[in-house]
Order: sequence, then structure tokens, then C-alpha cells
Amino acid sequence: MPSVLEHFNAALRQCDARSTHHELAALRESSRAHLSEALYPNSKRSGNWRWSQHLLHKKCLYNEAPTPMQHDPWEQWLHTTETPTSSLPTLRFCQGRYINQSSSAQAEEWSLAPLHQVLAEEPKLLEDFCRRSAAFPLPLFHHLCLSFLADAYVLTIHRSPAQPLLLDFAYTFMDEASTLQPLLHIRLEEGCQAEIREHHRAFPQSAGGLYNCALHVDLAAHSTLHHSTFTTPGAAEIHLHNRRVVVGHSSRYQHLSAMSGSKLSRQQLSVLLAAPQGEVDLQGVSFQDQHLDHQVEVLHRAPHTISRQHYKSALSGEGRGACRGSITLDRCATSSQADLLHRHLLLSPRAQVHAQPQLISDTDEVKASHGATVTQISEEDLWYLTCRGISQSEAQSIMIRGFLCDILRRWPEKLRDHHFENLLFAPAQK
Amino acid sequence: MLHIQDLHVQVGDLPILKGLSLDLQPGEIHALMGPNGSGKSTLGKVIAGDPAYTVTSGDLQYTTDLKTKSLLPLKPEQRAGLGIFLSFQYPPEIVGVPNEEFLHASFGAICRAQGIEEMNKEDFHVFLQQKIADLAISESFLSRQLNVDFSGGEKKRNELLQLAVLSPRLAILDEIDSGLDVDALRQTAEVLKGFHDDDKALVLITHYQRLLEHIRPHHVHILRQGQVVVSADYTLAQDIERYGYDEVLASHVCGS
Repeated sequence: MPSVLEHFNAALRQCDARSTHHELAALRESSRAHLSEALYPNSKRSGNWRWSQHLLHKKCLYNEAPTPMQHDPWEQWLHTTETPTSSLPTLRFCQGRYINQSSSAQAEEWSLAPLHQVLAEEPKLLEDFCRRSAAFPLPLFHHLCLSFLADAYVLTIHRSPAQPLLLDFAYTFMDEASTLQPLLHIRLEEGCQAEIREHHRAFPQSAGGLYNCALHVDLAAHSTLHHSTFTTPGAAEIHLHNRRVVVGHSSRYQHLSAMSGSKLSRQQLSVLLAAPQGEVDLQGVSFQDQHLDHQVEVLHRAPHTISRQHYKSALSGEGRGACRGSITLDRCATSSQADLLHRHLLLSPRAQVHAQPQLISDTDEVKASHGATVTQISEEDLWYLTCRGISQSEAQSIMIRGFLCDILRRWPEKLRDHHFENLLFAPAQK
Repeated sequence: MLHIQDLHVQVGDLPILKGLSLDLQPGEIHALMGPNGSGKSTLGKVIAGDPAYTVTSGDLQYTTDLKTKSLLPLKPEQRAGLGIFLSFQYPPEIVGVPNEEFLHASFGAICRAQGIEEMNKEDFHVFLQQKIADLAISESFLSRQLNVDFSGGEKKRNELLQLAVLSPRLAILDEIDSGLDVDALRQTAEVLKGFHDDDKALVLITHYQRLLEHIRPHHVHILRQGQVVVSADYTLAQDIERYGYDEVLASHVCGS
């Protein structure tokens, strides 16, 4: 049996600019079938709550009939008032497709093209994907992303205007999705600065489904990317986010994420500090009442690199969290600095979290710290607030907000997502 | 206003209040004094509804707007809504919650409970400005996190600010004078005098007579082993200061 990559290499060769939607859909179907046979996790893992319940994925991925690509549903989506509004250039992805809404979607500073078109000019790009994948062994999810190489896009930021380039990404699904978003590969060329705001929204009538986002970011030397992600799903949805970042010489990557509860939230972020003086700052908050699976790994492979991770999550009801943060400092990562702090708040006696902070260092010439805390709401604090007339649920909500918002408050005001803040302001019901 | 009738309270299996009875009327100021562990703070917490304590017998009858009801089935927030306020001896530090946001939430909750129109954030901020000016409190109080890194004196002043903002009908102040310097003590007494009127009752839990010199209580009670053992006028506080509890209690026992 050929490897998954070989399978897709072969598939990609069949694609060219003339491929129709139906041909790409057929390619996607064959990709699914291949994944189903070769890569589906075994029964041992499905029984372990510390890992995502992949069985849920299977139902959505393989047992449901695929939704054919049609233009009519897009029209409905384009006119809804529920989609994020912004004056920024917005890249919209719906039902696994990039929607080119207007001629202004392409600008001087950046370009967006299907991967198979870019590969025709830069055949080595696929090898880069493979090499990068080898740094982070995450077999299932990565292959899941690779399965959508066929529909992948490449966003290249060529040069910066006077101010950092601002881009909005809007991801949405309309129904019980049986398609996945394609991989988006973002490249910042040397010296470029950009800010990307990524919004994931459920359609109001969404009855659940599988949402995903697969992003590869490649920062050339002296480039900076501020990346924020806001996800406000419905309770019946499954969210799988996979982001891989390679930070070049003297480049800086910042990722801020805010996420509220869904049936399953699986967040994977892998950062490779590949060249000296690269810097990465990762911060996030999440509020979950079902299943949170959060994995962040930072690999230092060059000297004088800096990484910071600071995440907070609040779990209510029967919420379960599997949260792993890891730092790996290679032998060559001398004079580097790495800090990791993950904090979790359990809001009910039934909530659980499995926290796993990890630090692996092959050199002594580094400064590194790692830690995780798991706490509960203080009864004394709760009593104090209720004693001032505030109901128990509102008091709990105030305290959750207090716990999470010390991260949010440090963010620039323009990045605070009102939808998410409103959610936090609403009294906790569980 | 509040009729405490043969109250028995325990924590776990440990009895703390053992048949305590007391009457508070609108317009009255009461001082609760007594040796450590006599049940003064417990009484305040039980009136406010601390879930850590269990009332095993007795009752708390509270009268407001000509209606009398038992407080025992009510949650702490419901009691606060009826106008009961307890200032904490050791206010907790709540990280991440701005003081002003907390005050607004509390004020809004009390307004809703009492059927009074709430204020929006902007109006409330103006209202707060007036209160902190009256109390000579720094404006930075409002933006700081609730009691976080406050000194002992600052925490007490924050409790006073809450008292001034919420304007309760029955205020129980648990050692509001501890940790205050002479000037702050005088100022606290002035705030309490300004707060107090004919419709409101004030209960001062204290170990010292110095606060009572500034704001004279109508009644002084000595608690011992979970009961009120002596009640008298302000001169009782003077006697305690001069002779100590043992001598005062002995003389009252002999006198009776």
C-alpha cells in the first residue's frame, strides 16, 4: 500500500488548473476512502478519554453521504447577517471552498492561489511540507489535513504596506458538514508584517457537524505575523484545528486564541523555531463544558530563540480536558529561552482535566520553565460575592471571567471578540 | 427589624451558638463584644447566610416593608436583596475581577431584588465618583482587582465603600476598626454616622472601645460561649475597656 503522501502526490499530479469541482470532489472522496482504510485509530485509543474521541470523526467523515458542492447554499451564506463584518480584506471559506467574493480579493501585497497551481511553478513546495511534517509526528491529524491538499490554497504575502497587512479569515459551515476545509498555506516573504484574524462561526441553524481548520505558516527572515483565532461554536459541533508554524531568522509569530465550548474541540499548534533569534508568543483562553483536547508544542532548533506559552481553560459541567504543552530544546538551541504555563479551572465536581506540561532540553545553556495548575472556584470567594447580592450563577460567571480575562485584557482591544466576551458575561448555567 | 430567637448553630458537629437571642430595631446601633471564640463573627455570618454554618434550632425573623419572614430558607444573595450587609473581617482577594465591575454587578443585583431601576455603567461610574470622594478614597481603587494586594486598611475602606454604595437596611460590620490608624478610625466613624438613620440598624462587632467613642451604640452586648450573657448601654463598653471581660462578667453575675 502506498504511503499517504505518495497517494496524494499521485493525486496531485492529476490536478491542474482545469480541474472541475466535480473532479476535485472525486479526489476528496478517494482521499477519505484511503484514510478510512489506512489510518483510522484503533480501539485502544477510542476508549481513552485523554485523547479525542475519533469515533465521532469517523461518523462525520465516513458514514455520512458527502454534500455535493453547489452554489445555492453559498448565496444564502453570503447574505446572512451572522457572518463577521469587517472592513478588512476578508478571505471566506465555506463548505471546504474558498469563496472569491469580489475582484478586490487579490491585492498588490498578497496573492492567493490553489496549491496545484503553485506547485506547477514551485514543485519543491510539497517536499517542504513533507520535511516539516517529519518534525512533528502527529500521524492521524496530519494525514487528515494532507487529505485536503487537493483543495489547498497558498496565500503569499509579498510585501508589507506602511502598516502591517490586515486580513480576516472567515470559516463557516452551513449544515451537518461532511466536507472539510482545505489546507491553507501562508507564506510571509522576507521583512513582511501581517495580521490575520481568523473567525470560526457556526451557522445559526447549524445542528452540529465537523469543523476544521488546517493552516501552515511559513515566516521568512525578519517577518512578523500576529495571528488571532476566535471560535464560537454550537454545542453539537466538533472542531478540529491544526496549525503548524515555521519561524525563520529574526521572525516573530504571535498567536492569540479564544474558544468556547463544543462537543469536541481539538486544538493542535506546532511551532518550529528553525533559525536564530526567532520568537513565538502563544496565548489562549477556552471555556468548555464537553471535551477539550489541546496540544501545543514548540521546538527550538536554533540558538537565541524565545518561546512563551500561556493558556487558560475553564471546564464546567462534565467537561473534560486533555491539555499537553511541550517545549523541546535541541542541542543547537543554546542561549534560548522558553516558558510554558497552562492553568485550568474546574467549575464542577464532575469536570476533569489531564494536564501535561513537558520540557525536554538537550542543552544546559538555556533558560526554561514549564508548569500547569488545576484549581477550583474558591467557596470563600463565591460566598463573598453572593453575600453582596450576586446570584451564585452570576458570581461564578464573574469569577470565570476574572480567571480567563487576565489574558484577554492584555490583548489589544481591537482583538477582543465581543461575541466571546458576551458569552463569558452570560451567567454560567452549569 | 431582626428578631433572633434561641439560635443554635454549629459547624460540622461543633456547636458555636447555643441559644442566642437578640432584638434589633430600626435606628438602633448595637455593639457585639466578647472574648475570642465567643461567637460574634459567627452570628454575623449566620445572619448573612454563610452556607458553612448549620442552624440546628431557633429562628431569625426579619421585618422589612411591614412584612416579617424567616431568613433561614433564604440564600445569601436573597438576604442581601432584603438589605442585609455583612462587612467581612478578612475580605478575600478575587483575582481578575475589577472592583468597579464587581460593585456594579452587586448594585444591579440589589436594585433588581428591591425593584429599583438599575444604572448603566456610565451613570454608575458618576455615582461611584461621588461615593469615593465622600470617603476620600483614591480613584485607583475602582480599577484595581477586587481586594488584590490591598493593605489591611484598604480592604476595610473597600468594605465601607460597598456599604456606602449598597446602602443596606441592616449592616453588620465585623471588626471594621481593625487595621485602621487613628485618623482612618475617626473617618470610618464619620462614614458610619452618615450612613446611619432612623430606618437602618447597625451592628458593630468589635474588641475595642475606641470606635465606640466616635459612634456611640444604643446597646452593648457581651457574648460568651455562644450566648448573649450581658446587655447594657454604652457604659458597658467603657467597663470592658477598663476592667476586662472576666471582671465585668463576674460583677454582672454577682449583681444579678
